[in-house]
Amino acid sequence: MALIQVEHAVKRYGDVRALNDVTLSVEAGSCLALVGESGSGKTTLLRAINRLTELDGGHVTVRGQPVAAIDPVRLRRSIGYVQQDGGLIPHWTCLDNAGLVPALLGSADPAERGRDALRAAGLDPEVFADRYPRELSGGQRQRVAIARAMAAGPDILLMDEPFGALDAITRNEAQESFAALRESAGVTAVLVTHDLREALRVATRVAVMRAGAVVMESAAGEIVRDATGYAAELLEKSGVVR
Amino acid sequence: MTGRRARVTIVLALCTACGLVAATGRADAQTAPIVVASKPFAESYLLAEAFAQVLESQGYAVDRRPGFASTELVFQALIRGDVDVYPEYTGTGLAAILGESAAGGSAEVFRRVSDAFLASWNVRWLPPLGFENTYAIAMRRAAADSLNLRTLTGLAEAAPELAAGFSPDFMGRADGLEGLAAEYAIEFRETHSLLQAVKYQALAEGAVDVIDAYSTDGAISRYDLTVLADDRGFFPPYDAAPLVSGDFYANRPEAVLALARMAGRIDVEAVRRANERIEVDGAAVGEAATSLLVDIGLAPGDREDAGDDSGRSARGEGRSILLALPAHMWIERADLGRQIARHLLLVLVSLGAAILVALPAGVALERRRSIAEAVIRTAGLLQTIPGIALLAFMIPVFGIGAAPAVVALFLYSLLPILRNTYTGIVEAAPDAVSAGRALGMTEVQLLTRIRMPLAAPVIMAGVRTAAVINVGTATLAAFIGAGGLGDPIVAGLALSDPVMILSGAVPAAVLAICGDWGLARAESLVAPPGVRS
Repeated sequence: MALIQVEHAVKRYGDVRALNDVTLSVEAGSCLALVGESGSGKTTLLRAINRLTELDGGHVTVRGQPVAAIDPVRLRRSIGYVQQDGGLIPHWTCLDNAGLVPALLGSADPAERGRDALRAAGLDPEVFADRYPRELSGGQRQRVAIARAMAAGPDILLMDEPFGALDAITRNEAQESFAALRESAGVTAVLVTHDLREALRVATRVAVMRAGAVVMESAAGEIVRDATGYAAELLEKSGVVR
Repeated sequence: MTGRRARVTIVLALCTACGLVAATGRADAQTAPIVVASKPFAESYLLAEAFAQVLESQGYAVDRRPGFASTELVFQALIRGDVDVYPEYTGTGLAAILGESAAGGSAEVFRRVSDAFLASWNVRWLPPLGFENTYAIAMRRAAADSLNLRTLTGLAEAAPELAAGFSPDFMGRADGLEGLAAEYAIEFRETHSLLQAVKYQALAEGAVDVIDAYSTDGAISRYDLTVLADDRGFFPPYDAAPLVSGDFYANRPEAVLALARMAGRIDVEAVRRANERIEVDGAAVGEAATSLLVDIGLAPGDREDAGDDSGRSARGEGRSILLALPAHMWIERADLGRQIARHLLLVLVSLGAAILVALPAGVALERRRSIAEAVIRTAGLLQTIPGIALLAFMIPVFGIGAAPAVVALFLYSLLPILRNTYTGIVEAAPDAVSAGRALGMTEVQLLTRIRMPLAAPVIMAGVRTAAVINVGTATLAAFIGAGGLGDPIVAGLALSDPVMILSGAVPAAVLAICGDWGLARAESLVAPPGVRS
C-alpha cells in the first residue's frame, strides 16, 4: 500500500509552475530519491508532504488521509525531517535537540528517547549528550539532526539534501550509516538530492524531476538500464555512467 | 520569571509616580505654587528670582523653573498656563514674538505689545520695572579703538575683516542678527554661534571680534568692552516687565498686585550692580536678588529657601576647578541627590515605556517584513530631530516639566530597541527556526524557545544604546523645566560658571558610564549557553 500518495500536484509562484501536475506514490518501507537540478521542484514537492508548502491544485495523502485535513503541527510532529544545514537549535545541547519531538509530543521521558536516538545514529550519549552543536563536526551535527528526526519513531522521514554540506569522505560514511539505520528502523523516506550517485547509494527508487514534472521514475537498480533522454544526460553529468 | 515580573512592576510604579507628579502640578488654582520661569541668562535668572522672593514675602509658594532654552519655549509654556510669570522685554515681545519692526518710543512699544498680547493670547504685560536692557553689539575696547569704531554704521565698513560670535537666540531672531545685518548692511568675515557661557571668553581671547551683549551686562565692565552705538535706531526699546498668563492674572489678583508694585522701582544702575555681583563676583542669584530688592526698598522677609537652582560655586581666584568641584558638589549634595533621582526617573520611565512598546513591535515586524524597513526608518527619522527641537515640539501637547521630557526621551529610545529586536529576531538561527517548524514547533514555541533566547543579547544591546543616549539627552530636559542633572548645567551655562556646569555634567557622565557597564554585563548574562562567545 502507498504510504504517501501525490496526485496532480500543482504549485505556482507567480508565473512559474514549481510543480506541474505531479503524480507519485511512495510505498511503505521504501526510500524514494527526488533527483534534479535546482529549480526542478523537488524541494517544493517534499515540503508539500508535511504542509510546509500548500498546494494550489491536486492533493497529497499520507497514511490514506488527505494532509489538507490534518492540523499541520500535528502532521509535522508525526513525520521526521532533516534539512541540509542540520538546523540544530544552537543554544540547546545535543540531547535537548535529539529529544525535541518526543518533548513536543508530551513523551514521559524525552531525554531517554533522545539518548536512544543518538545511540542509533552512531553517537555515544555519554560523550555527546551535553555538547552544544557548535562543539561538533559537520558530520556529527548531521547525525544529531537525523537522531532528532527519528527520535519519536515516525514511520515517515523527509530529507532535503541531508548530506549536501559534508565533505566527500564524511558524506560516504553518513550515507552508508543512514541507509543501514533506515532499513533497520523500517522507515519510509523521501530524499531530495541533486546527486544521482547519492540517490543510487541510499534510495530504493529514484524519480527524476525537471521543470516541475517527474520525467522518469524507476527502481534504483534499474535506472541505469532504463534511462533515456534527460535522465540519461543527468546520469552522465553526475558521473554514474561514463 | 519573578525577576522579570518585578522589573515590570517597577516600571509600572514609576509610570504611576510620574503621573502623580504631573497631576499635583495642576492642583487647585488658588493654592498651587506660582510657577516663575526665566530664560537662560543671568539677568533673567535675577529678575525671576526677584519675582519669586517678592511673592514668597507675601506668603505665596513658588515653583522656580529657571533657564528655559529660548523665548519661544518659555512663551509657549506661559500661553499654556504651565508658567505663571517670567521676565520679558517689550522689544523682544514686539520683534521676536509679534514679528513687528521697531517704531516709536518706550511707551508706544509697551502699548502695542500690551494690546496685541492680550488680544492674541490673553497674556498680560505688567507695568515695566523701570530699566531698559537693549541688545548691545560689543567689541574689545582696544580693537574698537584701533579701528576707530564707535557706531554700528562704522562697524559695517570694518565687518568683512571681523569674526563675530552671537548667542543662538540672537542669531535666530528677526530683531537679532538678521534684521541688524539688513538694516546696516553688515557682513562679517565669519559668524559663530556661541553660548552665553563662552561668548565673553571667546571675545576676550580674540577668537571673535564682535559679540552681542546686553546693555546691563556686568561683563561689559569686567572685560573692558566698548558698546557700539545703534545710530540708526534698529533695536526697539527693551523695557523689562513681568509677563503673566491670563489665568494667573484672573485668578491670583493679590499676587499680580505684588508683582505690579515693583513697577518703576528698578533702575539700570541697580540691575547692573546685581548682574555684576552674579557675573563678576560669582554671587548666588538668590543673594543678588535679595540685595537688589533691599536696594529698591522691597526687601523680602526671611526666606526659607535660598533659591533652589542658584547656589553658586565658590569662585575664589586661582582655585582650580578640580578642587572647587568636589567642594561645590558636597555643599549642594542635597540638591544634587534630588537631581540625580529626578534624572534617573526621567531615564527609567522613558526607557521602560520604550521597551514596552518597541519590543513587541520589533517581534511583530518579523511577521510583516515588507513594512519593517519603513517602520524602522520612521523611528530612525525621530532620532534625527535634535534633542532641543524635539523637546520644543512636545510643549504644545504636553506642557512643561517631566511629561514632555519623558515623551521625547521615549521617542529617542524607540529606534535602538526596535531595530535591535527586529534584527535579533530575524537573524536568530534561521535554519534552526525552519527545522523547528518542519518538526512541528508552533510559531509561539519558535518565538519563545528559539528566537527570543538567541535575540536577547542583541535586544539588550539596543536597550543599552537607548539608555546611554537617554542619560545624555535627559540633561537637555532642564531647558523645558523637567529638572534633573541638566539644571546645574543650564544654570552654569547661563551664569558662565564652569564648576556649576561640571557639577551636573560629571554625575551625568558617571551615570552613563555605570549604566553602560551594567547593561553590558546584563547583555552577556542573557546570552544563552552554547552561543556565548
